[in-house]
Amino acid sequence: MSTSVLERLSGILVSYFGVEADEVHPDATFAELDLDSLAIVEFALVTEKEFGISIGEDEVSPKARVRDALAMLAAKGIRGDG
Amino acid sequence: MAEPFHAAVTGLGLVTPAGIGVAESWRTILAGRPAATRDSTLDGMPVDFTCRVPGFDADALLGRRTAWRLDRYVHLALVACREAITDAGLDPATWDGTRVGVVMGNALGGVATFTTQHETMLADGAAKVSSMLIPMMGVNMVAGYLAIDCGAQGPNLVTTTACASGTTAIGTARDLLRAGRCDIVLAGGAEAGLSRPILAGFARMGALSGRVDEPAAASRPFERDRDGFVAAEGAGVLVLERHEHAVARGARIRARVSGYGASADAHHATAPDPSGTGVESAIRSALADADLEPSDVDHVNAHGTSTQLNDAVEARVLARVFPGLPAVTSVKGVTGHSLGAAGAIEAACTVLAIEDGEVPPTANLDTPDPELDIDVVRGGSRRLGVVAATSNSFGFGGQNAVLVLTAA
Repeated sequence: MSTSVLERLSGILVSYFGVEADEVHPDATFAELDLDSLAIVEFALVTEKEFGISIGEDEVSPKARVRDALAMLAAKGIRGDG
Repeated sequence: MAEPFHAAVTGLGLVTPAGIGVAESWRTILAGRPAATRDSTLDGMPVDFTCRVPGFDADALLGRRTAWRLDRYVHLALVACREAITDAGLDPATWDGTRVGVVMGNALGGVATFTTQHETMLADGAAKVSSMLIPMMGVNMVAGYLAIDCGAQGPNLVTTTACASGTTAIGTARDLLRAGRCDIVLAGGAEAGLSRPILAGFARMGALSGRVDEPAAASRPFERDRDGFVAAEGAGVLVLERHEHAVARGARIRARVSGYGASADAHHATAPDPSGTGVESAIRSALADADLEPSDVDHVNAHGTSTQLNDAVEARVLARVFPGLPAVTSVKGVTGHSLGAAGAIEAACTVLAIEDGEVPPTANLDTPDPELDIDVVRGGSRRLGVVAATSNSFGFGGQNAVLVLTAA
């Protein structure tokens, strides 16, 4: 698992969504971070822009964990120094 | 005639171009210091000045986690509402939320959000439009979000009567209390419509002051050389309670909403009926609702927008209804015209004038329009024991709303 992708994801969650940095860890669900079904769509949009990729509607959900998002990004070629 | 119904005003919250919070806003309004300034978001526009709330930082005041999902008009309302609840000495953790209603006035909804998202769609396509667009822009959402914030589970709605929306909201809230549907209603108005297309629209109507070289002098209600209103943003919230409920919990009753009148001009989309028939009917029915005579009224917080037509029609009606010449003021000389928030902000100012025994001046009233035969406070605030006052609002669409406020 790449720290730098986690850091970039954490940066999005903190600066855009107002999540506390210490809440963001691989096991946290997005729902626990106050990202509900509406907010998760916004999260996908912001993440698409940050990484220059496309994210499908079924690829993110409030029930998913941060580690699931990292795996999804890795599958799209976003890795360690990505 | 039935006994008049007095709704107790037990809390106030203000976020206005005159300041964040009741104390700062009221100080600026009493001092008659105009808030209008050049607005860099309107660079290149024919009218490039407004009255914004100075230094309003939603992330700092509400937390980024809350603020990112809300339009500015809801930001302003949330800050005002929290202040009003605290001022009333209420604790949302312990109240019976099912007995707490919310009635807010708003005219335009989240236009800044809509404008931004429309630009995104045109530039990047429909797939890039935010999922938050609809909940951020809806005119009803301000009341919904206030309820979410404080757990108010009673009747919840937004009144939309253009520039009278905030006044209509307070009148409607009092009706809910009178009908016994609520013990407490959080009532007011909020607006943050200072987007380029909105300002362009108002400018094209000829409604805005064109005094671009001198923004601070642009809003001059009842003045000889007035040439239009200055667009503003803001929010005001009043905590209204059934009198018995306020007394039972030992609340401080700051003033009372004792009458409400509403009417329609049924005349023209945006121009007031020059005869003032609808305006007069709203004032007279508010007085009748409060069981008061015109001679009982000491003070009128006028709509006073600084447009030629509004101020002329309003002044003629006031002269006709109130031969005793009550002290008239328009705080829009300071605050500009915050559309759906204006009535709520001005009702709060009327409460403060009653409490303090001090009527604020109408800013920029250098030479009163000689055609207008009313007593407008100018040059400085006026010490005056106010027992009964009206707060007037007249909206596009010919929608008129008038409150009678009385000393507790």
